[in-house]
Amino acid sequence: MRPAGRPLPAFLRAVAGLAATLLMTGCARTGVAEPITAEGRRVEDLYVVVYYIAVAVFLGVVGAMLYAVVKYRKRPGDEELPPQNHGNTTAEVIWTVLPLIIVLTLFGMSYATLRVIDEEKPLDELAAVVNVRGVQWGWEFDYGNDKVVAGGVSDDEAPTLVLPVGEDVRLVMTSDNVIHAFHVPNFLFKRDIVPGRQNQFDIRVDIPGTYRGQCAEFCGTEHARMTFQVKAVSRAEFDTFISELSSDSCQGDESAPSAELAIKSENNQIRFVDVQSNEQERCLKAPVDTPVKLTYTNEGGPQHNVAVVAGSASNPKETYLGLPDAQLIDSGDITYDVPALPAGKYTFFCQVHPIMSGTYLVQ
Amino acid sequence: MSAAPPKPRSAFMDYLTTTDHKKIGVMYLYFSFFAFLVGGALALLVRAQLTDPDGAVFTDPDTYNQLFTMHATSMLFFFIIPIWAGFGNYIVPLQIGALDMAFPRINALSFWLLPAAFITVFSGYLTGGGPAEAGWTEYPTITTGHYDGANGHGTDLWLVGILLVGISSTLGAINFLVTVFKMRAPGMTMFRMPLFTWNVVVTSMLTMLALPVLTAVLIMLFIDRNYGGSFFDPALGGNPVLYQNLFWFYSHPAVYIMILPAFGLVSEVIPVFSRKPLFGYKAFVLATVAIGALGFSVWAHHMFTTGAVLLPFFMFMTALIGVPTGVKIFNWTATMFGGKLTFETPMLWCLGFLSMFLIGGINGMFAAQVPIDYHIHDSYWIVAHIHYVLFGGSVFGVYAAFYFWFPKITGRFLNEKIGKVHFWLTLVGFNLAFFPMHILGLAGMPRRIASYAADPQWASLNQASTVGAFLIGISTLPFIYNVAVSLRSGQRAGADPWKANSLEWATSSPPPVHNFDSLPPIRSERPVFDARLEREGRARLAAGTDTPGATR
Amino acid sequence: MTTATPDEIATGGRPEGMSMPLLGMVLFIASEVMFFGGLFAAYFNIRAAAPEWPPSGLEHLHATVPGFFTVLLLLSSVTMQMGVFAIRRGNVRALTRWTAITILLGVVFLCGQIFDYSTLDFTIRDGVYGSTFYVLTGFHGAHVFGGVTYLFIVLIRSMTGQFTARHHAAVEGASMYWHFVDVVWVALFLTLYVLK
Repeated sequence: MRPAGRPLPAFLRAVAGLAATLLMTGCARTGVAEPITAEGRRVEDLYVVVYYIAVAVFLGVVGAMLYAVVKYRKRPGDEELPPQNHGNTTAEVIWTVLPLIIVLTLFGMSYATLRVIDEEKPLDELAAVVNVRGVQWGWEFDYGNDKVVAGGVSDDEAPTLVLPVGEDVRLVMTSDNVIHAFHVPNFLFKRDIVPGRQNQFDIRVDIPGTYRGQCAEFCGTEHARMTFQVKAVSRAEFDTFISELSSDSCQGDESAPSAELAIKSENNQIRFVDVQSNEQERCLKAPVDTPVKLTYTNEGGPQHNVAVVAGSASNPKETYLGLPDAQLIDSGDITYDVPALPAGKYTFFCQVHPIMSGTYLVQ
Repeated sequence: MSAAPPKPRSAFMDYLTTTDHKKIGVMYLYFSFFAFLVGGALALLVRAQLTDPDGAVFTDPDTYNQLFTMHATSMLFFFIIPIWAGFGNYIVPLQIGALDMAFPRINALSFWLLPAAFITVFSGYLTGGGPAEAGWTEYPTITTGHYDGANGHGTDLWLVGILLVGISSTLGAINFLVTVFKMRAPGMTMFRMPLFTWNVVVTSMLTMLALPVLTAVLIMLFIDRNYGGSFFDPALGGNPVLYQNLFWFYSHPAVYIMILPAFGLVSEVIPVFSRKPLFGYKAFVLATVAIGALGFSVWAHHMFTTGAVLLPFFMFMTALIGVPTGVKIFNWTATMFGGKLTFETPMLWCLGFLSMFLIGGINGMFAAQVPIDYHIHDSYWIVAHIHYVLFGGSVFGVYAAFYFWFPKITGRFLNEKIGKVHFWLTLVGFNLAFFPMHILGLAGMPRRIASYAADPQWASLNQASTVGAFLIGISTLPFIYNVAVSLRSGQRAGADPWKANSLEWATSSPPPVHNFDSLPPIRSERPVFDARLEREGRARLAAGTDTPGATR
Repeated sequence: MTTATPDEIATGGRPEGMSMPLLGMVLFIASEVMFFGGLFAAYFNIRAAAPEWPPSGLEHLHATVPGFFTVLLLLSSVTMQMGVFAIRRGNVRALTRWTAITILLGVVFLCGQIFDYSTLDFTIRDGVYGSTFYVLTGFHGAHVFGGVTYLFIVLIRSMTGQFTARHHAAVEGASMYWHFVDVVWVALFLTLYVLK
């Protein structure tokens, strides 16, 4: 004995289907981040094509289903078997070949779009080549000649990649820690940053403005906050920015050099702060040719240490203080011995979280 | 003079030591559904966190990272793959007219490895660092380095547990294949097998060939983590992308392992409730085999953005695999045309499956186009895709299987009214939870993030999604109630309550220990239908009401 | 086609062709081939990307001693197959003898492997060369060990007269497994020791 089925569900499904349909054919570009590059616009165009095919297929299949549900529902009392149709070879051929044609056409269009997106310009046509380094958890945009914009979760503001509008720029991406991904929604593009690989791509932003970006490959605890910004400015502004860029975080710092330095990190934070003001510490100053005692306090949370190198945190050239001598601690105080150094600009940073870094200035 | 009969075992000892495929199948169902509830609870915590851009519940991102990792792990390895093994275990021997599986003791081993593996994986919560937390994909170098995150024993426990699941699955696959190849009843040629059995066969072939590669790569990861190996460490000559290639070589066929049994189930249910045969049986078989074979050639579409993939090849193969899948959708729809449809709960779930899986296949088509994937990879669009095919597809299929086969397994129907409430609640909740994710992905919201303070305008869509998720949670309650109540006092069901087609309906509900007292002749893919037709025809002739032929 | 009787249902409808346990072994071997395939894929991927191979500081492996043990392993496949032929003719004593010789050769091979390990100047911790070498040879060795154990059980069963010309599925299975282990070793040997 079988419980009876009822026609009511069919009607409800029909209504639901209709509503969904009307919503979906409304705006093909709904939700898509606004492209600011020519390649991005091509991606959006491809998306729109696929969108219309998708809606057509959806409407076709669900429409057929709803039609069947209404037209071929069993009437009460009708116990005769319907014709026992086993299949139709012509139908099979049609609905194998037709989708195959659609799929191949789409492939052709995508392939053409792909060639445009992944195309690289000759080196002499590039306005700039920027080395992008992904770290845990932040970014370094290295314009060369020691001009680096660095920042991440230890800062209040996301680091900004400044680019000249309307000109081709190559981004060369590396990581010496884990896999990250460079994603700017308005580029309609992302590329992974893989340790051991150098991934690069060329981009030309057409519309001036500030756009947000974010790491798009899970990279650990603070993956969610590994954001950055892209700022497209006029060529003149870009040139000015480059000339004024210096990775000296001690610019504007008025403190005097001291042979006894102190620095701390607060409970569960990924940043160094000043022991008195609790403001982010980006500058330590030491006297020339003098050994320095550097006291670090960890108020709790992840292990940190303090290392001092020539070069940058992700690109050290020589290490003056580092593991295993610069031990990690997860709470309490520790005092490190920094050797006497000649005058110059060095970098201090935590070797577990290189985004916690600043300038160690010897003068 | 005979000895006294042996004392009956307690039910507990009986199930602990059984090698009967039916009992083992039931244990799989209970265990897997439990894992579904665990994974679901974890999902609700994930969704609760995302109601606020700053993260509404957890201040520690590591806790959140563990949640989505363990949610996916529970759902994929302990729910969706085993539950179809459970239905397969119960039903496949019946559908081919066999006594049991080919290797009953190995069958029991396959099952018991699962709770052991589950405990191993989840015991990560008891370790200092917590359980695995780098996503169910556990990519190096985050899982191999001295890098923050994924360093504790939780990840190692995860690795061991998943290796155990791999052994369980591989043994199960071999068991299914030998059973079907060697134990079919006389008359049942391969092309007279029910589609569910066909799909279990192809699923088992995929499992047998793909899973060992996962075993290899997880062992390599374990060696990198614990024995100083350098397979995936670029500083020592290794390659993180190698992990991804080997991982996805298994994990892509894995998704077909998760969906093919559902395809099989839907291919059983729609013909029954349309009262006509499956449209294009041979086409279905060919399409299933094609999907299985093509499934091995697309894995790198999970890696389009690494810059290390032969893009045109994988884009082409990925697009191609939509064709046999489309054939199946058209055939299911054509089965309904010209039929006489009724909408009992199993059929409702199948209609839901058709439309929801269709959306999942369609949004996958977007991702298959590399230029579009460059934008939506690792975003919420992909989360939408995953859930439309896995939940809207496979889980809807699981529920259909429950409502369809519950009478066979227990001898009682699940309640229809409650079933319909269950269905509509799930359908609405599911779409509310996952449709907004398409838009979030297009807008650029990445996956696996514990907060999204940088983009507060994503909040309202996230909140809608959370409401939907909780609705899904609520929708499981009528189902659990339905099972509990129906086990006790559901309407009784005979051998063939749905007037169905395949051999499981040729024996009592539930079947005797030895499955069959006799079998009807097997001359087509619908032996029970044929036998019923003949029986009814003879009855009418005997009663004098003439015209042998199409009546029920 | 007539209705199947309960007897036919009970014994399975397909007595022709390969027996069930043997088919199970064939499928198991197929899955193991894929397992080693994954390990080999890793090896070739890493080697292809390496600027030099072996990496600087490491010497190319010497093939002579392992080559000798390779010959022994190949011989053991022959002796195993002789055992199979013997039991197919119903000769239990010959089976016992050939199985014992095969086990001996297998154990000698394992000892040879251990000896080879002791001569090497790198461990699994020494970069990708060490990782790939030890994971491939180590898992192969584990499979040889498993095979020797299986053969030992076959030996005991043979000695207690459990095999006849008609019923000796375990022997056929063991021999298939043993040939598989041998083939994998040949591939390993050529890849790791010979290929420059």
